[in-house]
Amino acid sequence: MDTEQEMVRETTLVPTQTHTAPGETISVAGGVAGHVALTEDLHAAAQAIDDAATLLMEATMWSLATENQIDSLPYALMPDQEWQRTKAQCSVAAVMAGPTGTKRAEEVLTEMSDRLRVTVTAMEEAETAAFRTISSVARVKAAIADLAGMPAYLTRGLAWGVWSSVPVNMALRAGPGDPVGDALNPGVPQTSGIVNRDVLDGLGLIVNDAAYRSMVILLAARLALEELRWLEPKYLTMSRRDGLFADRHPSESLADVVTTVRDIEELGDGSVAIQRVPSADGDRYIVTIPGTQDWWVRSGNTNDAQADAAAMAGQMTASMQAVVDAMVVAGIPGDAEVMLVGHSQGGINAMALASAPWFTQRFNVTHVVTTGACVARFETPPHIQSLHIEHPEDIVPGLDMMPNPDRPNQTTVTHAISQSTDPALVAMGQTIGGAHHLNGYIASTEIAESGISGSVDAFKDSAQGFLTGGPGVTTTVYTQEVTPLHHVPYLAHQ
Amino acid sequence: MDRTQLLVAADAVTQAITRLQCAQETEWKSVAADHMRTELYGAIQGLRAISTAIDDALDDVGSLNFSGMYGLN
Repeated sequence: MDTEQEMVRETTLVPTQTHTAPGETISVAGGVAGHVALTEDLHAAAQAIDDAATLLMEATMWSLATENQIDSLPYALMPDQEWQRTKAQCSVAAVMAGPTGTKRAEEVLTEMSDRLRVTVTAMEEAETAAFRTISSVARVKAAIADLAGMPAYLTRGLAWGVWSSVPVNMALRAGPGDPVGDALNPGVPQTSGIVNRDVLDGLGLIVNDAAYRSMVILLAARLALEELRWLEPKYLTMSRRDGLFADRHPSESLADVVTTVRDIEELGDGSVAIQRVPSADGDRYIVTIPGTQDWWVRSGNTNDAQADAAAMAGQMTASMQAVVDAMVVAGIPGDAEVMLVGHSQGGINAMALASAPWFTQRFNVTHVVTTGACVARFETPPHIQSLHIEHPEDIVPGLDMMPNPDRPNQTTVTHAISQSTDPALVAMGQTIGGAHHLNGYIASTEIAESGISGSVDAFKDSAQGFLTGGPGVTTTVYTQEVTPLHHVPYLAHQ
Repeated sequence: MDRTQLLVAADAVTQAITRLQCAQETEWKSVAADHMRTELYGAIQGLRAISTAIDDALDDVGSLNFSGMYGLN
């Protein structure tokens, strides 16, 4: 085997991704063990070796110049001086010559830094290739299954529609039940094989930043007009809601934190939960932010479709203001460490606030956790650690049409639930709604924090102060106040 | 020539080894990196040997200066 072949074999990387959760298809990008942090270090190491080679070259130059100076010295009359000159000549020659001399060492180090750079490049290329967690074969199979199932779904849906319209069916439903109707009901179609993040990433290749921004700005403006048209109640402020979540178990894991997101989201009214974690070195606060709860713009709930588009357009929204107001009402001090946690729109809001200088100057955000949120277009300061849990079957994290960046302070866990060993997760991964559901994200977070990745472990270690549990931890819910409905002519008649 | 510069370079190579070691503890295991680590340890020893050789050479050249054959640096 020649040297070149040997080099190729030696730079082969094994394995490329973490699969330590038994049977789960899961990948982790970014964070302290992410390839950017790692390759930055290795590039620095290659540079250090280059610098050492440069010093060796300088040492060789010095030796040559000194050798010439010694040679040009006048002939010494005294024998001891001649002995000293010979000794100095030998010493200087020894610096340069031989297998351990400066010349050879410089060659070795230069070759070594080149090889290190080849290795780093191979790592970067392997990372790019391996980031897709589901194999191409599995993707194609899922798409074919969805397409093949569509005619059967439509046929069944048609039969169900016909059956539902006949009088006997109505009588059955009013009385003993309708087993035929139940059997025919096609439910939600399997769509995640053809409508998923791949499709949006593909669109992202042809939609540049400016076009994307224009698109979401126009959408946000259009939905704002709809809010005016429907005279949507206006958000006023947040107020403390005593009693709710008062006996909540303190968060001791990241999955506990995400579970609180699910529970606050189920309230459906834009409420924000704030958990205060006392400690000897000062209180810490976990701010839990719900996702989209009004998929149109009429209810007065700030977490609506307009807020989604506006947040992606980089605008301040009422739902972000609600989070800020809740934090102010809760009396969170400016120097207290804060973890922002959110799902879907809640995750967008968390990252939007954590990347806004006015907000980070007001509050000491140290950690952000998001699930099922499109967060790639936000960049937080380097001292804020963020963890993003995503499902490739879920289209919402892909709505920004670009993959999350790999940064040392930003870790993304991608868990392909349709490939899971858990049948419940597999079923959730078949539909758009299921893939986005928080129950799936709670399961994925449990797997993510089970020691599968150095980046996630480092994130969790750094967030340990928020997860101490203990009797002093309190959870308080803050609820939105909006203009009364009777002030709104249209809704007063609903 | 200052031999301490080479010792600083040896430290830099030590740092390179640490970083390679970190890389090997992640999913990015590389056969090449394993080989390089051994070679880098060799390079550190080489740099230290060279710095000692430079030290000796500086002493000997210094002796020449002391004995009146100045003009060397």
